[in-house]
Amino acid sequence: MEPDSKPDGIARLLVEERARLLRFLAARGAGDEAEDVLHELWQRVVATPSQPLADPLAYLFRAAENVMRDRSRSAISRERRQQAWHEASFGAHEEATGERVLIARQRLREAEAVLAAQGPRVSTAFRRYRLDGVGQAVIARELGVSVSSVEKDLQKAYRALSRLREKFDAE
Amino acid sequence: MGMSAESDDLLREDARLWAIRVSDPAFADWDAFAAWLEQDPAHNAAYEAALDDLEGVDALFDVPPAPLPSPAPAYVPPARVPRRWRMPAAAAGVALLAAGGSWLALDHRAQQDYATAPGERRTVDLADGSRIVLNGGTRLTFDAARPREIAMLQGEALFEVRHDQARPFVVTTKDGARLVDVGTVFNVVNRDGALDVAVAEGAVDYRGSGAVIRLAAGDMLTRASATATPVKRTVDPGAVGGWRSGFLQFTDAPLRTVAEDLARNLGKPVVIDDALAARRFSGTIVLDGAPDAVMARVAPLLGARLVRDGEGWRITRPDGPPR
Repeated sequence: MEPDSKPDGIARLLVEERARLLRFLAARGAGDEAEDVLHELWQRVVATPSQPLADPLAYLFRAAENVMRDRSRSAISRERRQQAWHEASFGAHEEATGERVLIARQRLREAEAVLAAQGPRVSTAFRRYRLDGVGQAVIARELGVSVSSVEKDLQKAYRALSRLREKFDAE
Repeated sequence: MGMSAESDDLLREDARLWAIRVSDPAFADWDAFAAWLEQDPAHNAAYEAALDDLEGVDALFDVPPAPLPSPAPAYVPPARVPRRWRMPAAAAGVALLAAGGSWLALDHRAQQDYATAPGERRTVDLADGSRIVLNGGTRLTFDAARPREIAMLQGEALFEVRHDQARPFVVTTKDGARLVDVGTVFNVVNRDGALDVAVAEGAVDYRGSGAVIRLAAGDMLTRASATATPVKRTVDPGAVGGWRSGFLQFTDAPLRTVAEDLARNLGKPVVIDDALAARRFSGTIVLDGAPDAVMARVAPLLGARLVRDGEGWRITRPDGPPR
């Protein structure tokens, strides 16, 4: 990309893995702009000092994923989504703060009940993942199950809670 | 799109599963993810919708339950700490904080808010046996219902954590970095997004922008700004949190940092000339005695000259013109 610079470490890896990253970016929504996004990524990477990384390639993909998520967030719909969220949460007319808190707490109680109804393992996996920030591999070890079981447990929890959200949205 | 309702459901569940997988910081199967995305342009759209949905579900839990009848954290002032540090709101158990910033969305939460002025110290004993010692000029806050999740807004604090396998102790900063303890004594300095984390005992995981960095005793992580890449180095674990026992230890620290640390510990403004700010210092500063005495000892250590500046001092070049 920049033939005159001497990329080392992660920047060199980005050049070496260019094809794979481009393929990912294109499929992840960048389409024809994948080259531009990769260039943006390159600039970020060379601008930051080197650091110890357990898995530099995964780090690059993660950075690429973050860039695409940021783009999709800001592109379409920040305003629209916030508006929708706001209306779903509080109704089109903003209620007093006290009222909002009451609604939010009521919804939290319902969410807790839905979660509990998924069974103790699903509920534990969700809490450890979402509320404690524990990784899926660690949760799998703690529960003595495979990582793919933890994924499915989380899927079950999110599916049930998503239905609850649809119900709230309809209210 | 001409899809049947059934295949629509299947796609939604596939997308949900991918969103859950990818959201794990340790996710590494990017080629498989790319292959799935490539199968059909509808997959990426479904994936984006699944991410939105995940965030929506997560937001359901961003509300604390009603305040607990008996507050979890108890504030016990240490013997030599003046009583004016006791906050009525904290003593009452629940403080409602009108947040200036938006990142915490505090307006509807039951918050415990602790703050010290420059030069002040304060100890917070948590109900689980963990302890936080706040250095001067420090603000941190936590949800009364989640006293093991501390949001550090500014300043410096030493965390002595009672490890609990089931409930990790987490320190967050406003740029989204997370420090997760693995049974531990560690010190955190947060200056407007510039972050220093030093570990005295045990270990801490730093998590930010996709990276997880394990810090063991004697490791120090330095991040120059909220967007900078963190760098790991080695420090003397015995010197971590040395400010509590009256000394500040620096390893190759810019003088700007030294000046900020002095201001925080002495409770007086200490500014530094731009020409000197980036110069490096390694060594120990003893905080024994009155601020004037401390500063008089500091100047030769830094190879600089000291000028009175209102309430505080200006550190300037030894050959600089008198002010």
